[in-house]
Amino acid sequence: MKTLITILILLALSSHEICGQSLKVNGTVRDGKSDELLIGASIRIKETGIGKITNQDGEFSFELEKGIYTLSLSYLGYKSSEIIVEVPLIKPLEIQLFPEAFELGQVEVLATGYQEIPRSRASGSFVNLNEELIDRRVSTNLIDRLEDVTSGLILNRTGDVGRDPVSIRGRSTLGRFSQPLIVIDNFPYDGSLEDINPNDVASITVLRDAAAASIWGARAGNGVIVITTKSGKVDEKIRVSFTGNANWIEPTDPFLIPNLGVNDYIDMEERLFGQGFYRTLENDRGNAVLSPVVETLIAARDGVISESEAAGQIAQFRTYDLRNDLNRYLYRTQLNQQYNLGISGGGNSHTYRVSIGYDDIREEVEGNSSDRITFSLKNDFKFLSDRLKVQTAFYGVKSRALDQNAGPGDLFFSTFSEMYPYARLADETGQPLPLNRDYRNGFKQDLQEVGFLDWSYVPLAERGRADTQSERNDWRVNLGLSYDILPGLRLNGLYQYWENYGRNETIYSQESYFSRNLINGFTGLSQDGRLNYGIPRGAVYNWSNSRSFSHSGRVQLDYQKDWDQGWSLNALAGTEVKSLESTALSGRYYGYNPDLATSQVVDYVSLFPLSFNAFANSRIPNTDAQNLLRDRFYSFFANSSIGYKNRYLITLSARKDASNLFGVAANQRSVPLWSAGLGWTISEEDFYDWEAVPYLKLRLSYGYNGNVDRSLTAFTTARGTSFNPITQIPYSIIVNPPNENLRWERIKISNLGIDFESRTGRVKGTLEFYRKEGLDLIGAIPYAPSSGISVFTGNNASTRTNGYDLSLETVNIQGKFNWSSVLLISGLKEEVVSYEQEVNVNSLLDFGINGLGGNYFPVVGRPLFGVYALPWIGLNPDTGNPIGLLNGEPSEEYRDIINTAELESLIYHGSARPTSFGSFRNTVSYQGFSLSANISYRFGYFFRRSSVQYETILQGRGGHSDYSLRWQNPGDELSTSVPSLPEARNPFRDQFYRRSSVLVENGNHIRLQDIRLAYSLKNSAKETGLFRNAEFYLYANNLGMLWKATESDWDPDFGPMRPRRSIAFGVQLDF
Amino acid sequence: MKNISFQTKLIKRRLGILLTLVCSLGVFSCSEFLEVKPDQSLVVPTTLEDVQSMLDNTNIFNAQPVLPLIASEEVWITDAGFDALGNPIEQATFTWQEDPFLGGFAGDWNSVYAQVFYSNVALDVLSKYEGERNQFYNTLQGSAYFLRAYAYLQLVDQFSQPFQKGADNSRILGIVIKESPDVNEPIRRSSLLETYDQIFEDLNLAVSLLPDRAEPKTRPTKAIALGALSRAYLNTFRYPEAANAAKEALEIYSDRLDFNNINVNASRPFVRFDQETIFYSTLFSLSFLRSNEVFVDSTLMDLYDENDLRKKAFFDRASNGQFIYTGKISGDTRNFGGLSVGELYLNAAEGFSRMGEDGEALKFLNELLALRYDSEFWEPIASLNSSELLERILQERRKELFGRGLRWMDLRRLNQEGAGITLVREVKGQRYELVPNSLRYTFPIPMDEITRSGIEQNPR
Repeated sequence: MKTLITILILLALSSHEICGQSLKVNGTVRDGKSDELLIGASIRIKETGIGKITNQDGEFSFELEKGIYTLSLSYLGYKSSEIIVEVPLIKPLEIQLFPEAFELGQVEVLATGYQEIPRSRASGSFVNLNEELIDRRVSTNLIDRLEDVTSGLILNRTGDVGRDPVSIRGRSTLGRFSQPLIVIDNFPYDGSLEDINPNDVASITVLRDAAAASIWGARAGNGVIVITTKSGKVDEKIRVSFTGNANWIEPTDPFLIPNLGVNDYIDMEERLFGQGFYRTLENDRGNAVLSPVVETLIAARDGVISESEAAGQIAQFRTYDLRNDLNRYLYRTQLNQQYNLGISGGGNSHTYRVSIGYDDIREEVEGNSSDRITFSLKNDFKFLSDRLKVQTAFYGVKSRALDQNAGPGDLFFSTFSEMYPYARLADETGQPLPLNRDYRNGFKQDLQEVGFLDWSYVPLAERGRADTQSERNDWRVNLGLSYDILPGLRLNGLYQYWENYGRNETIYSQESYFSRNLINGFTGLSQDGRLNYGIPRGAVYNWSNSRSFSHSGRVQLDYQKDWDQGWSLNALAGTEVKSLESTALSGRYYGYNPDLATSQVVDYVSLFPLSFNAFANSRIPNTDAQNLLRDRFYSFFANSSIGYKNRYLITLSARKDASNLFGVAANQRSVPLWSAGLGWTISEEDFYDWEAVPYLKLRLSYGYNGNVDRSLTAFTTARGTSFNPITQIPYSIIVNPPNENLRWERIKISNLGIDFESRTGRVKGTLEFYRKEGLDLIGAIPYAPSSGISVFTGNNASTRTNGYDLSLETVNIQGKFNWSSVLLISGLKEEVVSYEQEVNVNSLLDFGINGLGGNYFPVVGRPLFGVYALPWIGLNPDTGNPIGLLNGEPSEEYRDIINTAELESLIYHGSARPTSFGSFRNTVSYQGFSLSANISYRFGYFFRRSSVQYETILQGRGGHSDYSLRWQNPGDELSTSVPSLPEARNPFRDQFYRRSSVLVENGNHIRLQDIRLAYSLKNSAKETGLFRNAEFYLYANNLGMLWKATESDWDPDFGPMRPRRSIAFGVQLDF
Repeated sequence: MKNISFQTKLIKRRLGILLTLVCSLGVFSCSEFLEVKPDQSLVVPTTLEDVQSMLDNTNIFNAQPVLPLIASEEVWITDAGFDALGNPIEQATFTWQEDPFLGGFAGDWNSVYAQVFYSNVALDVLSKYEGERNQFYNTLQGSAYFLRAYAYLQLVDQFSQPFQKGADNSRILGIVIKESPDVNEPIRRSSLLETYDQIFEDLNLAVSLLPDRAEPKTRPTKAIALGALSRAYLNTFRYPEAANAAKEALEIYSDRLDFNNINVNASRPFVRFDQETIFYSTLFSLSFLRSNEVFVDSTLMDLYDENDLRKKAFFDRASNGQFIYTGKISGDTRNFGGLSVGELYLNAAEGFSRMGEDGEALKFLNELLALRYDSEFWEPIASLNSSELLERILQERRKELFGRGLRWMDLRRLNQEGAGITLVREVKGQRYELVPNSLRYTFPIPMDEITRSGIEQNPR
């Protein structure tokens, strides 16, 4: 690779002299106001008729004979001008163009990761976010900043959210890899987006259709988000900018969790005790823990305490509420602080930017915090009279987090149950109190008396005993070379090295409950009263390390030519190589002594008797694990656009991707994909005379993107495991059955776009219609178990999404007082076109059962994520039993209702994800003040509420707070739909209610997302000399619901919880 | 003009060189660069070691159905325990409901077919193997045949009607026989006769291919295949073959565990892979097997003599005076379900007894009991008439093979022989009965299988 570049450079250098016959006329074109370089500005030499367009760096050049020439300059949205030059030039020209009173046609520069193109040369669907928009929202995470300002993009709140957190124009894949591709500084980014400092980002371009994204080929199927970081500017004096903000976020409200209240919980425990329910548990060989109320009732029954004492104690328990204690002792207002200092500048042939950022997060849970330091350094050099450009950049991030393991997430009653709601964390004086956990108190005490470690669980005392520290170092180095070989022909070479090192460790000190519990469990009592420790005393030290690194390289040729007749050609072609490797190791040390950093060996092989269960034995948990993953990609790509007189545009793009897919034949390792687009600026036509709309452009594109599921194979594959506790011999698991018909997923996208702008520039917008068809999609379908697998994954589905995106910007009032609006409206209809197998009705009905969706269930003609329910008739007025439909008749035969349910007999409510969404952002400004508010809406979808399940309640494990709304007496059915408490556990009755339509709610809602109030001192530099620019702002987020269709108190997107409100204060200073 | 043409030529040449370079970059790497494994732990099985590694997956193999144990009459559960059972299927199975699978667990079918799938993958890899077909190869092939047959044997005992003595078994539905690992192969139920033919064919091949011994005891051997063969012959009333297969197996596998030599009072007197175990396999785990409200049927307990060491070794007395099953020859809390020396003795004894060779039968019975009774008090059984002998053998069968799910198989075939055993249980005041040869001796096939492959359901 190195040699290749060297050879190319040498080749290119030799060309210089030969072109020396004519004289070079070169220069740059800039915006006269902002000093931004203008890409795609047109320069025509009147005398010769030759025309050129400025390149990616705003540069142009001609070869001319000696003489005097008139250069005619034009650029969409700018005043045309003419200048007279004398050749030879003394120095390169620096031409300034000034915007017209209003801007016609958008002048943004769109980054695809392979090139930067002006909007006028685009036929595809791009959304561009500038720095101002990115900085509008206060958040430490970049992705949050895209929400409700990016047309067509939505953050998913339901259905497979873990794998699919962001959707661009719906989801056209079933598979595991459903996230958009993130590109930073020209290369796909393998790290975590949390490691990108939003303050370093200059712009974000979202590629939505095939023409825009197919240059990314097989990785572009879910859309591409291209992030460009800030650079210094040519001929700019040193510029120092500082931003800082503090964001206060309210803590989680535990009262919102719909859990059984204390009185209901205790009533149920008393009732179950009366029925003898706890007898089994009392005799449990594993000494399973019982709650304080049950222990009290047992003590009273056995005469250890009197009935009145017991009643007194239980009355006391009824006054406690764990949620109050959580608020008091564990939760606090979260505080996020962000600071960033950037210094940039540039001379003629060198520009630079250096920035340092510091983020500090005080988490909502006491004792937890994290921070992040980011550093970036970017240098751009030009050599050989600007023909050779060298770019270097370094980005480093160090993030750390401390979790003191004392949050509500660590409060358990037993391995399977949540803590009882009347648990009390501390007494009146604030003294931490023990809670019942894992084993019965009497049993624990007996063993403590013979020398076992203290077995009590005191949550508040746990803080600091089991600290988890994690650290991540992420850095990347970019090197870019570009050389103008010949006029219009440029060779680019790019290289990136990225590395991420992560470390996570938890030291459970011997005082921690975790260690004491584990050590006690493996402690044996010998006949002579001595204790044998299976696990040595001391701390338990969990650690995991991960290291990932990648090399990415690209060689690319750019060619640009303009013909006198008005034709222009822009083309690029190249090849790209990438290799990514990641290793992860984890393990545990027992008997760790933090002072000496020593640990002790344990016997992982033998079975040890467990102290808490005379009939059980177990091995000492071994958490050692290691893996090694390698991804390799190899691609060829080409892209070209041909334009004629700013009127017509044809774009073509193609790419072939190959990857080290495993277990496939060599010819299945690669896939070619392509796209084509057309652009027609109607307003440039001679016949066009619609004066109200002087700018109108039509865009049409068609093509294919791809998606790769690297986990599948065409041959049978097996995965080796290293440890088998029974035989001590490694064994393997079959991960994929043979599938010779495996193919790559393809997504066919057609897009029609209209860009328009009114004469006054007051109204401008883009309207796009699109169709995305997912072909050969890889899906998992249930399989007859006798085939040996119950799920088969293969190319067995296709989907179609039709939709539109409208973005409309208006300036409503202009003058001293300004009012502008941005309206984003997106609508889409997703449906599964084919799917080889019928899905299990029960799985469909279980979607959203826990409030937040689940996996997709493809049903032909319906969206991937849909809400289905069983018909609901009502409650039986005599018994409070729920009534459903069986063969069209009202019925209480729940088992039959569930088992005979068919797709046709279900109610399909609608999509589980919004089918219409958008936002309406208004900004008013007066002098230095500006106030911006964003209202967002989500329409056309449904969600399922959770409600009471008697299965858990009747096992004394608590349940849903709807219990208190249940049917209790005839007549209640008029005011409630919560079924009565059944005599005995009846899972089918529970299931019927859970799946019935009475729990399905309309998700439509409008919320006031945020408000930003800013005051800026724009011209203070002249007066005070202190800053060029200063802005102070207040930002409030998640302000609340303006309207929602559901009458329940659920938030359609956040379930019973609420998005946490926050308020931030910040400054932005430019010196 | 000359200049221009020269220039164009030069450009062309340069572009040519550039393209060649770029292309050669492509050629050099494509082949090797993309050969790297994406995940180091993945393998496309091709070697004998790969096959061994698949067959060593004890989570797939060495595990077997559990519901027959719950359905038979060896143990009972208190009402409180019944209510506390984790999965509705356990309650439904215990009370012989029409369709116990409604609760969701279908492991008895699904997991056993996973064994068939793994075996078929192994056989497929072996059939394409190009290396030397040596003893290792034969062992693996024999293992795969055995494991497939053992899986079929489990399935046919649970999901097909019992093999009919003196009826046309080719007209009775068997189970699904899978010939290849191809998951798209059409699925149909074979006849009961075809199913057993397949089992015998696989087992006979396994007998001819497998070595006498193997370590550890999760791996098949010739004795193990013979043991399974003897079980299958018993099911099909081919007693001479059953007796001879068991006898041959006992000759090959000569280890014996004398209960006099172990501490029968220990809470766990057995060690995994001890001499008693010929083939290690355990039952799938359900909460029924872990419940402390499950007690041994007291009439069964009454059968144990005080000098019978099995009583102490297998059982502990609970606080309520009832017996619980604690001493499992798996060596841990899992219920053993594989092949043991005891079963082979009893197969041989029963086979010979039913053949009329009482002397041989008694010899096998005495040999076993000498290992089970306190040697201080043990007197070999001297003489019994034929029916008394058979009765004693069957009684010892219940006592020896407790808690393995084998009783279900025995109930199915013994009722065919006219034993007329009616099972009765009472749960929460309600009485349930399972009459001899009831259709409920055949489990229904899980709904997922019926809906996805469309095969015929069993009548209940």
